Amino acid sequence: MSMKIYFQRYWAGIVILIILALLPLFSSEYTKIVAMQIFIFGVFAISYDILLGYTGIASFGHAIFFGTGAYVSALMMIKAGYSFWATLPFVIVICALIGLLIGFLTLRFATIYFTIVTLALGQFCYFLLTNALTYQYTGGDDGLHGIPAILQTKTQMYYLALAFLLAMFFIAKKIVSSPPGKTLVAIRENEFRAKMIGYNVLNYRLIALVISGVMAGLAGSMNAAVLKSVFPSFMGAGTTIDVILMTILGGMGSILGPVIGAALVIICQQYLSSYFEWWLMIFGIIFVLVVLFLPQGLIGIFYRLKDKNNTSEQKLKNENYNRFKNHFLGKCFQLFRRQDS
Amino acid sequence: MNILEMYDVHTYIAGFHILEGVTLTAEHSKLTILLGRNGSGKTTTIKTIMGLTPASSGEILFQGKQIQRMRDFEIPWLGIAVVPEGRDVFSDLTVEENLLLAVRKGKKIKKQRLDYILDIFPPIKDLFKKKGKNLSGGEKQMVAVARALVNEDELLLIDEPTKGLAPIMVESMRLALAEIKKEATIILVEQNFEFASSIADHFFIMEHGKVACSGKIEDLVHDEAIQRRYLGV
Repeated sequence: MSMKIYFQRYWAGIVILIILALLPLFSSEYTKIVAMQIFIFGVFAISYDILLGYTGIASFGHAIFFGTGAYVSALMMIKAGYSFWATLPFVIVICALIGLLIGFLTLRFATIYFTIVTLALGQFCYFLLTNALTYQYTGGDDGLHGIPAILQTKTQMYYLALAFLLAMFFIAKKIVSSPPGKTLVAIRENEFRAKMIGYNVLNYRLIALVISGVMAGLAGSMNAAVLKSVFPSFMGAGTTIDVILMTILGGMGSILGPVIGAALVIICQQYLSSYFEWWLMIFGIIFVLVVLFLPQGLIGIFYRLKDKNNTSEQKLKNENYNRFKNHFLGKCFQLFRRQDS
Repeated sequence: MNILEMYDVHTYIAGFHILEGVTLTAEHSKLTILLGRNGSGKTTTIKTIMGLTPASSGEILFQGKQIQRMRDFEIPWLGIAVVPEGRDVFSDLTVEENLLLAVRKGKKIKKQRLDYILDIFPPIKDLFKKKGKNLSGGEKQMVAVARALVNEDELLLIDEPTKGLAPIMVESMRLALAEIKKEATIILVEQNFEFASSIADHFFIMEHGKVACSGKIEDLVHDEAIQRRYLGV
């Protein structure tokens, strides 16, 4: 691809990248922290998108991985004096093992059971952190503080977080566009059909969960490094709900969408909350509007601009998206129906 | 020689006794057809062969080997391909990706195999980059059958390929199946008796989860009493 075509196709992305690269030169410390949070939660939301958007598994305990990453890094740095980089291999291995464990326990069942069990496991992990027995290690509700800085200045940290987001973004893109990524989409659409052409559905789901978990764990480690402290809320249901909001708001099944969603949610959290007491209500209205008018999420705006000439295809896309959502909701309702009969 | 044999196969779905002792055989390089009214167990028979609704008792032999205890995703690897009912091609994937997904050995469709597929379904050539959801019903059916052809499988199970198709598409599907029949054994589930009788060699009529009668298709064509009784033609 020649340079010119490349630029024509991705000009919006390139402009945004240049703005992001120049941002720390003329912004306050506070803005930098908010931007870093966006980058980190962007990675977290990407990892969730691989699970929900591409594999079609709705986990309500994804914060387990985020929290594990954060606490593993924090504990090893504070208590054992490891450097941040030395903790990352441990984070990867531990998160992969947790992913395998959760997967073996739950992925065998239909999606809705997976959702409920992950919710329970998430809460279990949260109480494990805040329990009196573990207080001396985890600091209970107070969390752990005084993690040594890994880079001297906030600006350096900012570039590290940005590079982290970009790296994870391209890795995720690569994964979902590879043949195994396409298999995940096929499994999401129709598990039985995928089995009929000879795919071991359980293994593919396990792999997706492990990849997604490791990515979320790394995001958690990064968050610990940026904030220099960790809190049990990293592992709480609130964090999971945040990441679900980000993914759905931004547009699932697109990798880029969840990053946009993360930006919107965090900007709302940080800025709306300082102007309005009832900012959550405003946020709720935004959420309802997006779900009603942009069923593909915020990324849908870009699709619409792109396919302005091809409205029929757009309609089809929306229709299919709705069908997928109904499909998942339909599965939820089946639970109740079964009890009726 | 029989490529597939089922002996007294029973299958339960959610506690309901669906297959109540199915016994049938499919002869090598012949086209065997399963006929019968709605709810008689034709599709369940296909699903039971593929292990999706495992048989609770009975024997299923493929090329003389027992397969009823194998896991669902292992069975296609023996050399059995399925065209499921409702012809769902994966809607978010392109036609090309749909076909590649089914390839078991290697990463590409073999050149001569691709030529063979395009020979049978010439229109697919122009659909390669189209997504599954943007195909018409007839195109989807073509892709679904083509997907079953990418590996050189010995046995094809095809579930109602003409359902909801325009008459002209039914005719081209008939020609396609006649062509495929030269190289592979086919078990076809079909409600359209006219379509079925024009290409089949053997038939099995199912009723209430059992095989009610079977034989050569010529005999059925001439026996209107059986047609009326089981098929309501």
